[in-house]
Amino acid sequence: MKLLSLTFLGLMILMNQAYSKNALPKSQLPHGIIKQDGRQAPALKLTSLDGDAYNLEDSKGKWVFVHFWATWCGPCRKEIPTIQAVVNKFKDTNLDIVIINTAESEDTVFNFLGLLAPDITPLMDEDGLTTELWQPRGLPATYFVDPGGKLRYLALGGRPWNKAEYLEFLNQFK
Amino acid sequence: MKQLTRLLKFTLLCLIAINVYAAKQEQLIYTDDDVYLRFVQLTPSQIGSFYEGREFNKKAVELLMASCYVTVIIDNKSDDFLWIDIARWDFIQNGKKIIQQDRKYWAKKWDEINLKQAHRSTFSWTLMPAERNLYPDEGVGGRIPIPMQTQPFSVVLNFPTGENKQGKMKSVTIDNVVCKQDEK
Repeated sequence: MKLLSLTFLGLMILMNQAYSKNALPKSQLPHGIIKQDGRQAPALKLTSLDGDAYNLEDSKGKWVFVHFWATWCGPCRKEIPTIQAVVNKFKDTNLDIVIINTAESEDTVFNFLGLLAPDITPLMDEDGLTTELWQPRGLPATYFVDPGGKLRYLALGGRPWNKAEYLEFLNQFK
Repeated sequence: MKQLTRLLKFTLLCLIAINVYAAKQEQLIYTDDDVYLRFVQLTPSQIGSFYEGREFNKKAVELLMASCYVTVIIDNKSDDFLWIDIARWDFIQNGKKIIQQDRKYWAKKWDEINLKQAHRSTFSWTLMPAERNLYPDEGVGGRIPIPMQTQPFSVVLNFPTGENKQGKMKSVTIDNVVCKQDEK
């Protein structure tokens, strides 16, 4: 009887550990980053503020940080300097950082970024239709697209990308 | 001369303090263990300036200024999903419902004045999402347009909870909400 009780107890502990292991991935991600279901990323074909064409297909084989923002949005204004702080760290790595302005004029974006984030050259979603195609939960929004073009992670709202927790997360894609 | 400078400085500080106090008074805040809510009201001129600054045309700005916008900022402080579903939010004045000016209402208005797509998109992103969940610790903010009101009203916010809205309904009532007017 004692042996049976001990075996039962052991089994309960093992089951509990297995359950905890399943719950672990959530806690391993930085605060506010959630897993996505791996569906195909929507199309993304835009021209940058400098006039260069970009297609998400060009980044196949690399991870892509896809970020939507607008100058009028408070959390975007807070977040963009933290992207500016990391953008050069990931140049020529396996992580492409793609910043998309939603439906604003070149002058507005140029003046804004000149002050806060001069190293960022955003893609211009002039009519806002690309943003709508991606259906972000709100602005700002950041998606992580895997090398196969699938949506893997989503950042909820603005995140301090230059903080250790987030840098560590970004570094895994390098 | 020194005393005059001091007096001027003191007056300036008092004015700043009064302004800060007034600004605080204009915000309605509700908080409990599950949710943080903040209502921010803008005057027609402030709304007009916001959209004019985004290069909206005169006709659009005039239309926008004729409405009242209840701007709500929400943080989900609970450990569960909290659902935004603004069709379940009631704006009530003297027992009568004030009808929200939803996205369909504005799409019709924009069609009438042929507003360009970029501005329709910007306007849409400044509105409170019609329906979506909020993860624990997630926040959202946005405007809910209603017809301009001269009297205070109440806003009853009903939030379904749980991943599939299967949880208990969370309800919060905010009284004495006003459509803030420009000073004459």
